[in-house]
Amino acid sequence: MTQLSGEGISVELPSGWEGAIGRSTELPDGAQRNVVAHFASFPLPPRRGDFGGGAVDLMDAGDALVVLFDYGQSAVGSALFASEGVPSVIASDFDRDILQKSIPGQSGVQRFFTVAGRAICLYVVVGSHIDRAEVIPAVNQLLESVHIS
Amino acid sequence: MEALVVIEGIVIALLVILVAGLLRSHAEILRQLAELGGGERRESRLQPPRRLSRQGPLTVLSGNTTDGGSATFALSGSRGHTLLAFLSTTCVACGAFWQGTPPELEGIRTLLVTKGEEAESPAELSRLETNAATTVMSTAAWESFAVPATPYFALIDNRDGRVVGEGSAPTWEQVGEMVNRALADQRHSLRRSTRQRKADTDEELAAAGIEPGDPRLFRPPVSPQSERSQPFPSPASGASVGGGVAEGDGGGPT
Repeated sequence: MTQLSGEGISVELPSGWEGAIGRSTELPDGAQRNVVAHFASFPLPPRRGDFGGGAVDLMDAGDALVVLFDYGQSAVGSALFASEGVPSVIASDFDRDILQKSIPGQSGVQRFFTVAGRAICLYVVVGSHIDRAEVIPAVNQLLESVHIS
Repeated sequence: MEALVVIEGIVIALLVILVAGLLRSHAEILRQLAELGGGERRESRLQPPRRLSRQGPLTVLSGNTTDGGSATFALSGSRGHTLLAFLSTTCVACGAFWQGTPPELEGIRTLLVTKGEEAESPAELSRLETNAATTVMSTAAWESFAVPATPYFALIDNRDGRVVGEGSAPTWEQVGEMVNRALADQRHSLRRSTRQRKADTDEELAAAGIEPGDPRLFRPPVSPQSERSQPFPSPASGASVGGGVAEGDGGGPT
């Protein structure tokens, strides 16, 4: 287990997993880049979209990608983020049609919740919808270790 | 006359002192130049590639990214290989690597590893970083790998964290050659245990559609003599040159 923390998010990564927590920054065009964290059971590429673009293309059948995206203070209190606490996922949550980028064989799940006054989106992609049960325990192990402040 | 000799003696003594001072000053300048030159040589000296693999000092590499974020990369228990490029913004020889593009090799991702914020310029790193590789700042990684000079490279097998090759090179192209050589060495039978070689054989047989228990594995080998007696096997007969595990040679063991 390896601990990774940054921007008020800390997590214990299962063996073989890796991750990156990006800082909230102002982009050259003046837009604000939100805090986003990527955790993966496979080597992460250098450049990734917020919801895993560029990374999901590299996934094998037994892989999983977990994204935590902070929507910022403006989203806190909205109905979408009414759920409290970091959720866990089960096999029936996964849907092939929910993917930001549809790749044959993959499926995903998206959950919105609030923790410590932060409006967070959880987005999980698995490399194989059929074999997702094999990787879900590791995903939940990771999610149980997430601490957001 | 005596007065002239005394004055001449004093002048000579003063000249001796002056020359001695100049020589000393010159020696000091040379010493300082040598120190400066020596430092540069240490930075750019090429290390010969290490031939034998060794267990890597880290299973994960953690550090900060140039945007102030944090990241952890698995060097063990994962798949593929990680090429660690230990670079510095002040090392002249590293310029070619900051300006160039890492070799695109299948299954290999490149991490540009610099020292931490206490020893590096994040602003300069942001200016230099490339889209083709992740830049991570980690003094701990430098210390763990005992980086002897910059630029320095280590190729890690992400399955078990072994360092399968390490050394220095002046260009990305040569680093690519080093990586290919290290991977070829890793695959070479001399570097593989009996168990690994047996696994290789199983893998090759499986790729050819021959699973354990396949009757073709129990057929007696074809002798060179019988091979010579059928030099031009007809495709229709299902035999193939070389005998042994011939396609269409199905059927039970004889």
